[in-house]
Amino acid sequence: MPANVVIYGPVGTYLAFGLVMAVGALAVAWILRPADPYEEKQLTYECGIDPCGPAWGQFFVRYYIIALIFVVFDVEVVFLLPWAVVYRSLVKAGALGAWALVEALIFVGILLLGLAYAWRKGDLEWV
Amino acid sequence: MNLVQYYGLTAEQWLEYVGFLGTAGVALVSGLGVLFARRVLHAAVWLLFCLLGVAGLFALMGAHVLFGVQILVYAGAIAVMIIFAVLLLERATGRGILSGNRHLFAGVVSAGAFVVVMAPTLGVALWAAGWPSQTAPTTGQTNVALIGRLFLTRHLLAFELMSVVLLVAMIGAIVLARAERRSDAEEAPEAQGGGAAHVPTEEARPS
Amino acid sequence: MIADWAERIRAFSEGLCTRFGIPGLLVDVLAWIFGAIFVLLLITVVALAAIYLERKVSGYIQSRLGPMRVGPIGLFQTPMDALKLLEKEDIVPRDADRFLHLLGPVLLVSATVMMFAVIPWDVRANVGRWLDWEIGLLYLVAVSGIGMLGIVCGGWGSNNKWSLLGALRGVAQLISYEIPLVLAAMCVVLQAETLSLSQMVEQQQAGIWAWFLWRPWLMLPAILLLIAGIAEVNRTPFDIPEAESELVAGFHTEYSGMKFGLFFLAEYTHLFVVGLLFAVLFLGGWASPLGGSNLPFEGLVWLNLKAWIFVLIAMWVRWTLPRLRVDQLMAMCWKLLIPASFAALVIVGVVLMYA
Repeated sequence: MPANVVIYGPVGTYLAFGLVMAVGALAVAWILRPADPYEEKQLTYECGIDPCGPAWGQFFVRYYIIALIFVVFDVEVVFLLPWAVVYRSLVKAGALGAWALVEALIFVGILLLGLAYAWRKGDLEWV
Repeated sequence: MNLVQYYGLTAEQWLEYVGFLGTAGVALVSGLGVLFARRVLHAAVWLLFCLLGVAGLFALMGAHVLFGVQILVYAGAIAVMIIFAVLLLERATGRGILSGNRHLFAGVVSAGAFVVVMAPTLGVALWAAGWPSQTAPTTGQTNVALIGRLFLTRHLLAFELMSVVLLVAMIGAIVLARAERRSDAEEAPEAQGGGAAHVPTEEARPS
Repeated sequence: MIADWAERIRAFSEGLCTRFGIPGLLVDVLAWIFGAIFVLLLITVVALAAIYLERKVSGYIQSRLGPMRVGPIGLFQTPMDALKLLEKEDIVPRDADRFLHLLGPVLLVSATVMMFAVIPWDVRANVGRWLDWEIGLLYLVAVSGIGMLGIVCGGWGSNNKWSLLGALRGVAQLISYEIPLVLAAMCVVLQAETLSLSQMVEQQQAGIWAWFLWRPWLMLPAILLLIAGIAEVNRTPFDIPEAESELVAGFHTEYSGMKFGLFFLAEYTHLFVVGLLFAVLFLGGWASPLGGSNLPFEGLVWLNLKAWIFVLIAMWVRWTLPRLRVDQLMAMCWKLLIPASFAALVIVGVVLMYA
């Protein structure tokens, strides 16, 4: 294995190039493009007439719930990934394989209880 | 492996220092950004960069799985959740939230207390490990496989309990949401139709 | 005669270094830079080609010809459009949050470019192969998650109701469909015992019948990944974030000029990355369907062809199916895809126990 900085070098390089690409394109456009702002042009688009108040401060609670449930499932994925990597080698090794499956089933099952609860109580309905 | 030294360090060590300074700098500067941003949503975005900087530090320490998890869970999921929470609060208060420094004294005291607790711990750890500390020796196995084996053998109970913790978190979120939704339905039934169908009133203007 | 042209590039940069007395480690650095330049060129070509093809495909599906005027069969239409975007005025609403308005597209494009760091282009032709060896798939999924924050930044920063709605719906959709996507990919991880994309390809090297797609227990994950992948790049029938008939243009309503161009670029690049992921997981990545690979650049060609299969399917679906409503969209994910992907995971686990 090379040093960690060598392992992650490509990540840093790609990040740098991505930034250069985005900022560079904007910079070129900045040189080329016209700039002629005036009051009407800079109005927020709403539907043709003058906008009515800012957009900020409008939010549907359900988005927050989805984000919370997503965090839970994301963490679950993180815990299952290492299991998925070693599962087959445990199966090949013998008796531990069945255990590995049962353990993962328990893990997933407990979480699916939560999903079932949300479903049953109507919390997966959007509206 | 090239071991020629330039100004006392090998090229690899130079890169390592540059990488460390870069990632630590990102984490530090964006941490300050979180502190000094006026709009709370800006603070949330700075927090995203701070989390990414920390992911970079994990990377340089060879904690590959933690690097991935930091980006997936913290920068991906938690940051979205925090941004949504800010938007939710803006909606509840009806205006853009600005952060102030009203709790400066308490903040300084608690930060100081944190340093007092952490400094000896870190000092002992550094003293034990030597400076600069070595990264963990790498074996033929990937970190993920090692972690997976530990989950299924030594830390099995923790692994299973984790799912219970997640279940509690999920049900808690749902129950809280239901209370919120009920109060929501009482005050503005027409706002239910998929977001912002309702036009804000005058006091909704951000201050 | 292995097509390890990446090694050749590395040897070339090594030669450069010894010639000009550059420190040894910079060989690696040069290799990274060459890799990044390659990816940037590829992204540009792919995005232009995909946009052109999208217009042609949609044209043919709707019994039209698509662009025909600029260049032979309209080939220069998209480059010209890109030039046009470059010289368009950048209109930022007065009430917008300029910092977030600018950050949105930049964040999205950078995250999309970063996703390429672990893509295995050919045998050992991947500058990020060590990272790939450790956490390849996890990295790809994680970085794609950063991109959606660009959508939030852009949508909220515009201070426009359409943008905000589009961004919120979009993020809700992206985070929801990320779960079936990851779970479907995890079925392949179970099969391949690794997170490394190149090792997954190596296990499908023996020819077309070695592809994971043909394992009966991996067919369900393949379908789930296809659906979730199309949803993950915000395309019809899942294009709720920019639903033009209900949200004007969704999260990029207030974008014009090159900032809008960056959103567009990121969308098509992301589509291509998901295609690459699909090709690697189920279609054997760079491996030739005939088995064995001896020509230089052969793997690169195969991988790109396979990724285009996904891209073309996505286009076909886009111009065939109507858009889902936002509640149908969420219901489909949480009530159909997520239970199905857990079922697929369990099925794969049980099958592999006895396989």
